[in-house]
Amino acid sequence: MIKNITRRRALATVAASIAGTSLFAFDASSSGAAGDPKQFVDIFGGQLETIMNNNHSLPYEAKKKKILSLIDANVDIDGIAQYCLGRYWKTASSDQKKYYLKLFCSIVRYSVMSRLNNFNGVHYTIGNVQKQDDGTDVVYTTLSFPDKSPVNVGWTVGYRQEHPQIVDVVGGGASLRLTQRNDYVAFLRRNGGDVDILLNALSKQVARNEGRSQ
Amino acid sequence: MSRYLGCVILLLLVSCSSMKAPVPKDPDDLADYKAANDKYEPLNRKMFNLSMKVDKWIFHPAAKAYVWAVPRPIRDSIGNLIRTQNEPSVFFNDVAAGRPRRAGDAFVRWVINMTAGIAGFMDVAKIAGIPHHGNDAGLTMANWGVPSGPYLFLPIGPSSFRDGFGYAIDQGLSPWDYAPRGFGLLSFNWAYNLMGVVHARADHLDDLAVVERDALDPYATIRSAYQQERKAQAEAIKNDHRATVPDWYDR
Repeated sequence: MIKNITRRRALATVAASIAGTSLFAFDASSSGAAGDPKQFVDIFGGQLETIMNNNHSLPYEAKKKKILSLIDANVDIDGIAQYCLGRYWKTASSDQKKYYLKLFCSIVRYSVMSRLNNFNGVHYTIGNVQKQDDGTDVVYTTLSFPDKSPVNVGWTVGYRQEHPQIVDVVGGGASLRLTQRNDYVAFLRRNGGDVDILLNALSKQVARNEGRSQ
Repeated sequence: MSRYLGCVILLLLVSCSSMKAPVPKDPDDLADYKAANDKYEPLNRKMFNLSMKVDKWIFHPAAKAYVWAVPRPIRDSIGNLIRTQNEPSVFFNDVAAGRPRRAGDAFVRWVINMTAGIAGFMDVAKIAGIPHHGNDAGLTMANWGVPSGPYLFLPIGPSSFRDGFGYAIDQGLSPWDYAPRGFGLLSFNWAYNLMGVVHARADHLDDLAVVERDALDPYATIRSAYQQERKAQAEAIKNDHRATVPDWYDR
């Protein structure tokens, strides 16, 4: 039975990576780092550290605002949303797509904000870069915390827009967007491929998130 | 008699067919079906739902009580103990996987932590620059090229045909399983196994809560995460080409 601990820990490590590092997926900044993924992620890391570790002159609400603006500038949320819907993106109507993107963005923002306090005192070190077959680059980093074990995280940098943007986070070997896609696709398959049912479920999630935020 | 036997066989066949997901005919659905690698999805989902109920009523409350009652440094020590006691299994699997450097690391970790680490309560080896790495029979077989087979959700958690078989092999690699009767060691083995389950659950109370709360299909999320992670672990072992002798040995 002790071996299932390894398996359960592995699974939970993945979940932890997904849940706990989603904040980092959406805190990148690409100021002046066009083209070079390592430099892009390095700048992002520096800005992240500055914001997260500034507990003296930066109140919580100001921190939130800065991070959300970094997300908007440097994470390809629409691209990730489209990826997560898989083949159902093609069959969705334009109204459904618009609403879906709005809900997805709201979920991402809440996901980041709800974990803000988990990343006080974080520091990062940049590792190597690995080119992927789909034209993206994965930049590996190690995130160190004052009270937790370090976490290895890979940042997938895509070039859908003109400047580099974060399109994925890989933690514990698991891709955040691929896992999310498998979640949505499985849900849609079990509901006859009806995108409206997905949108209804996501809107309920957003409503719950808003209730928790108040 | 033959009529009753026929009924039993028929019942078995019917129940077997309900354990397997039907193969879709639509090409897109078929692609999703193959990507998920979850032929026994109906059965797996039943097992998952049952496991979640057991977790809700037994392991989750036990883990919360454990976190409340046991201070963090002691919980960390227990985690170190569990990891150290697993090192023999890691060692044998590293040897079987043909990774002598990893096997050496596991062996040295076990020696250091059992001695300087006081039976494994302290992870002195990590301080010495030899962090823990995991390995099990499922990953060893993956290293040999054995495919994982369909996904399975077992009572022990997410698995596959290969990993489930590997788990059975790993049971034979723990030294505690060979403790002679009458020495109290068997009781200790059971106690520390159960403690290990609660400890592992406690380590990830928030994370699994997030998955259950935010995932539209927690079963599919856990399946996807597990499959990706196992694949990455197997590749990490395959791609570990470090020299058998560490650098410090030559100095």
